[in-house]
Amino acid sequence: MRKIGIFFAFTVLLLAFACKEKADITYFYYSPEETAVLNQSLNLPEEPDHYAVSLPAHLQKVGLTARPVERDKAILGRVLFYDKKLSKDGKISCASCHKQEIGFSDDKAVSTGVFDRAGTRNSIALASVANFSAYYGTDLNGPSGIRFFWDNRAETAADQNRASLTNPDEMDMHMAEVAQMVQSLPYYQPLLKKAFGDGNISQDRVNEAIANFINSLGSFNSRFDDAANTYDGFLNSFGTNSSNITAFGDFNASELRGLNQYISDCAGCHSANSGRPILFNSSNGLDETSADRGVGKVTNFNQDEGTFKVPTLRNITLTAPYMHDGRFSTLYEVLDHYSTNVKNTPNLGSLLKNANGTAKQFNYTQGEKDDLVAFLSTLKDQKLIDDKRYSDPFK
Amino acid sequence: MKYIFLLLCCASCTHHYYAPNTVQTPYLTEQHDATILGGVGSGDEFSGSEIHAVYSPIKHVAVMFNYFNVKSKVSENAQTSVSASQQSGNGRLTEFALGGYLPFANGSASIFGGYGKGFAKNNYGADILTNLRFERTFIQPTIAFRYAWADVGMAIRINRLRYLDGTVDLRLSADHADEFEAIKAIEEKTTIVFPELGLSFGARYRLLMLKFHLSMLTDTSVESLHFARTYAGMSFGINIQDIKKSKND
Repeated sequence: MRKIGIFFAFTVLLLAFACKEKADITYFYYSPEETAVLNQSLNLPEEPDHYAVSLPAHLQKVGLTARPVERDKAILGRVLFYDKKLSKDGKISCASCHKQEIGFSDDKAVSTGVFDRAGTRNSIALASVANFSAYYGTDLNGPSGIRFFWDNRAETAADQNRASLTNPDEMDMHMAEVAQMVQSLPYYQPLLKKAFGDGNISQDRVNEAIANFINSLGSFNSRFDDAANTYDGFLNSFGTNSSNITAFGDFNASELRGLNQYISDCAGCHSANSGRPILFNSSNGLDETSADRGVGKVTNFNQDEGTFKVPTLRNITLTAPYMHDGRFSTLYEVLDHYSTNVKNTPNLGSLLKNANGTAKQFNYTQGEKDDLVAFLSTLKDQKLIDDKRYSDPFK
Repeated sequence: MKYIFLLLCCASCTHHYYAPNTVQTPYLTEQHDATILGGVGSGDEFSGSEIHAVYSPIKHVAVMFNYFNVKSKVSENAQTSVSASQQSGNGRLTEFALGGYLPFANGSASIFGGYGKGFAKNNYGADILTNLRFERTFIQPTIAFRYAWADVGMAIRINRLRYLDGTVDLRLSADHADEFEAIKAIEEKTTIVFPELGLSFGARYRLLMLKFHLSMLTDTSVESLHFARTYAGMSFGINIQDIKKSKND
């Protein structure tokens, strides 16, 4: 009995004082086999990134809504976006002309596609809008009010993807080739399974994945947004109820003057809150006669001849050169144009016209230009530029 | 048995990260007493198969062995978008114990302390998998009685269950949030001490034995950890005491 007593006491002690180290539970997203395949080509985090979009309060207040992003499709879309193998010469990806460090734009006036073929227009900065789905409409694959490309030729994000992938001056692929390539590359299998439940790819799935990734881009963590979130007054796309905003977040005097100047002169087209644009397309009087017919070539309407998309101006300080053909290298050159060089084109925007029908010249002083540039600098979203979720995942 | 089936029907439709095995209630009286049984059973949405054995190498001292294998049966009304047929689970526990016993009149009192290791694997559909490994230390006082042709026994097993490590597919957090929460709670606690009540009734015929067991977790707080709480089993085997006796006869 004594032995039993000793044994009992020993066991109780063991139960009471045995190791209490916390369980070592590994949370994984991809199986070890999938991870091995992915790691051969990609740098993806073990714990998948989240791509949910939450617009800032000031944009939500005016009714902007972002479409829900499906995380796994966005992850797949990110890889597709950066994959150069999806181009004819294997050297061009979407990211070649939409570089994250410069607001997903291109620093060339006209982007270069496969085999060094020059395109015809400047690459639109994807980060020029607060959020793709909020800007272009909430229906991912259906028609939206605002169309894509400088000439508004694409109706949906999917159309836009397809057009870029198949444009001979861009990636020069057939969608069937893209799908075939994706199917043949081993690192897509785990991503496809997560995104769609199986490893099969189709043209629609390529488009859907890229669209999810692009829709997840959020460029709304700028100083302007911080200030707008705390602004007590009324501010929407059309402007403000104040003729002169005297305080706006942490804006300094120059930025504040620039904001007021911007709302007075620019917001009528580009949106006061940089939410959605006021005009879908317009002419800003660059050339008296435009060789590039712009939207007019798509619609064949006289009123669209020589007009182009009117983007919002987020991250504008990063996205030089400017205009649809990248003719201006600096923001000061742009302001010089609006200051003294606006041509009276047939479809010149009404806000750029005087009452007598002549082209309006804003005649900015150097100080006013400095103030406008100072304000436009507040639209930069460094968080997006540094966000690893949107960076090149390839090794 | 009605009670058992009622318990099974009311069971929640979840995956489990622990399931109780049979609590052995050995009747030991002298050196070389031994019992070896193999059985099957069913619990809260799982079925089990097991081998359990006990042997006394010297008087008053005995060793015990338990092997328990379970498969889950996720029912169709599980609160998930994935059909039950795509979901599964399995687990295993192997353990040894050492103890002492004291025979009296027609009974035997014993106490065992044991240690074992096991795992609980679950598949939630769409290849969403979890695998948790654990160790279990236990102390188990038991009392068993023998009558002409029957054995009855009761034991309380005090478990110290410690989760060692595991792997969890993070998709679980989105698709099966309650399961993910349960695993996070297990990770947070890591070590869980809880009692189990074991009841048994055995019928003997010569050296053969047919035994019914019921194991129950009495602590309701473990439900949030998605522990199965009941297991009812039936086992069949031989009783070495009766072999010896039949030889002596």
